[in-house]
Amino acid sequence: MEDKKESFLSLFKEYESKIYNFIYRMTQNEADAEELTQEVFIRVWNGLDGLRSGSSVTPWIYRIASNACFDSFRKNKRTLKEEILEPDDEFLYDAKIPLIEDEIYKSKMAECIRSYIAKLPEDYRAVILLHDIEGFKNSDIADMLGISLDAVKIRLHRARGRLREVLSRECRVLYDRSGEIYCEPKKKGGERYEL
Amino acid sequence: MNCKDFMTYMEDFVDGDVEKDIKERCEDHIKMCKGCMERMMDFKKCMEFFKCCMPDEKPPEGIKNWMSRFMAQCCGGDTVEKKEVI
Repeated sequence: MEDKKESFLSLFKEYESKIYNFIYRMTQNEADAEELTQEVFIRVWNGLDGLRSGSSVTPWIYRIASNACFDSFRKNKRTLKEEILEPDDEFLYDAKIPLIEDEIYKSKMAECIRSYIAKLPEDYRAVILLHDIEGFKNSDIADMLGISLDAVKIRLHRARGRLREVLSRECRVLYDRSGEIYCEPKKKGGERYEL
Repeated sequence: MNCKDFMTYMEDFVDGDVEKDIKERCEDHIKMCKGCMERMMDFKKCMEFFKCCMPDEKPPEGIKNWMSRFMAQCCGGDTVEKKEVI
């Protein structure tokens, strides 16, 4: 039992932040992310004995986290796209030239992108987050989500396509002089603010 | 490789998830085709922007506090139900 506790605490230390952030990006809700992170670690504890030695822990934990998110979505019978509001118009159409050093601006930018991600269907959202943010290979994602490799590729392609579509409609993505990337909102009606 | 073929492979090419042969054909194509090069750069820029807008948040202290209670109360048994952790 002591070995199990030690392994478990070590996993918690390593994955707490990763799993919380993955779930937060999936749910876009801090309270849900906190509750589901706890749920994930309960499942990790309960499944630890069955984890074969030598098998990879990371995909296993992310599989548990993905399942916990999908279970929660099903249980609540809601989707984020029904709940998340439109991106903050005040931010999107603010005529101020962005200061890339400005943490508030960056935070607003992240909020804006999150609202786009939240509008993706849950299965697309899971794939794009697992691939492009968490850095998993398509084959790992297929295994985690219990879907075919082709299905992963299709969902990833569609999720990226939707994201690109909304970005190209709403923003201009630019680099500042230091090479840092940022966006500049397009004005309603298609007219752009110039730098 | 023509532009249509390149667009079929572009995402996998950027992800580094193509066979060597396809990779080389993609590289040859974008050397010659400014349009596809620009489409690829736009795609990369969009994905880079997406990634930079997803910074990690610090998990709430509540999770650590919960874990302390979890370890204290529930780890004596083999299987734990959520309701057991108060």
